[in-house]
Amino acid sequence: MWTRRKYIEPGLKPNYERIKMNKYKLITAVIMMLTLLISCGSKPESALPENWAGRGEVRVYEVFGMDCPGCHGGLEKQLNALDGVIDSRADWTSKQVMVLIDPAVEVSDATIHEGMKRANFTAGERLK
Amino acid sequence: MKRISKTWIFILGVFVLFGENKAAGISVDAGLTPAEGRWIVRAQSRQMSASAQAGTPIREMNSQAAVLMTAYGLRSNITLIGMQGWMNREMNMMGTVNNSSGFMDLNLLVKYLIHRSNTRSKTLGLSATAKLTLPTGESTFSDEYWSITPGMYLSFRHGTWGVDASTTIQVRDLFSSQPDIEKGWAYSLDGAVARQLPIGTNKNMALAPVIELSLNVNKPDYFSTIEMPEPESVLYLSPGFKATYASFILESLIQVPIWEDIPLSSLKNDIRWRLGLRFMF
Repeated sequence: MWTRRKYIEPGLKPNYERIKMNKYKLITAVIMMLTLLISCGSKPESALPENWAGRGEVRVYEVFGMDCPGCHGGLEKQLNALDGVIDSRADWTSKQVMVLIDPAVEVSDATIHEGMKRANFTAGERLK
Repeated sequence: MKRISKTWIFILGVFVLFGENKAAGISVDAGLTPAEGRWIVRAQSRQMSASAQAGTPIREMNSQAAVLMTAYGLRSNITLIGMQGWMNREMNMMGTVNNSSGFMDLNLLVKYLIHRSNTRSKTLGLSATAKLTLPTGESTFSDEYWSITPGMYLSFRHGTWGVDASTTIQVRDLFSSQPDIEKGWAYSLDGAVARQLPIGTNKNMALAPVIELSLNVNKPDYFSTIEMPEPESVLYLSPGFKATYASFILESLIQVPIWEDIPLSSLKNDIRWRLGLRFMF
């Protein structure tokens, strides 16, 4: 009642437009607070993907330029298209990509770097 | 009445045309182009309303628009984009309600990445765009002229923070020498700050609060000798969020007009709302 009364001027109808506007502001504020709460204490995972064990050589590269989970798909698509790459998994939080290489095919680091470049990312050091 | 209607078509056209720029803050990658061979499909619902200013006859406008955008990374530095919208609009002019709906004009864009640098902690991207608007929409929602909109986009990322800025200028009625209120230009300046926050331990999930500031300026034909309407400027402050799960992004934005410089005959903008979904593959 107090909130409603605040927007009622003497002799006039309630300003529903303003009440509606404040409702939007409240919803936005709640969403932003939830965002901060949920994100507290989160850590990225870095386990080997399922079904990778024993299938080939696993390499880990640093990749610069990823800024959200949506970037994973673009990088993985480019790397998976390379001859000799069986699979790849990117992680924007650790700025790394794991690449599963077919042991029967020679795949150089330069080839992997070229795939990263086509995805608009920059290769860092090879970590493994 | 015809003049009011034309003015509104004019204003709506600008918002629709610049909608992509304003949403760039929500997409957060304004100055960055997607990977080669990457498709991005984006659907967005928009709710807009406006009402008469104090001391003028009672008028109201409510509209809903659905916009579908498809982008393709032709090369790592060239992106092709097509955008088509559909709109439903209800106009109330002193008790007389008029409802209309139909397709809006088709927009074709090319984005070219001028510069991109990625380091361990920072990413900087600068892109140029050119947008061509084809008068293919329903007459109520179409500008009924060709126009081109060049623009520049700048993006900066530092850690989980992202800052985007864009500016565009729409040159109207390319192929006509006749003075008209629809000629002239429209200018847009947008800025956005966002922070990508990972959710839990799942690297495929993130939530990003976003805040945008958008200035839209309409200037009628400067070189005309006939009477022209006054220029119109609107500044929006827009809080929103973007939730990412793997290749899907859910995004929403509330645009609050915090400053307006419009003629008395124009409708005053109310809060606008956008809800969109993106899929990348």
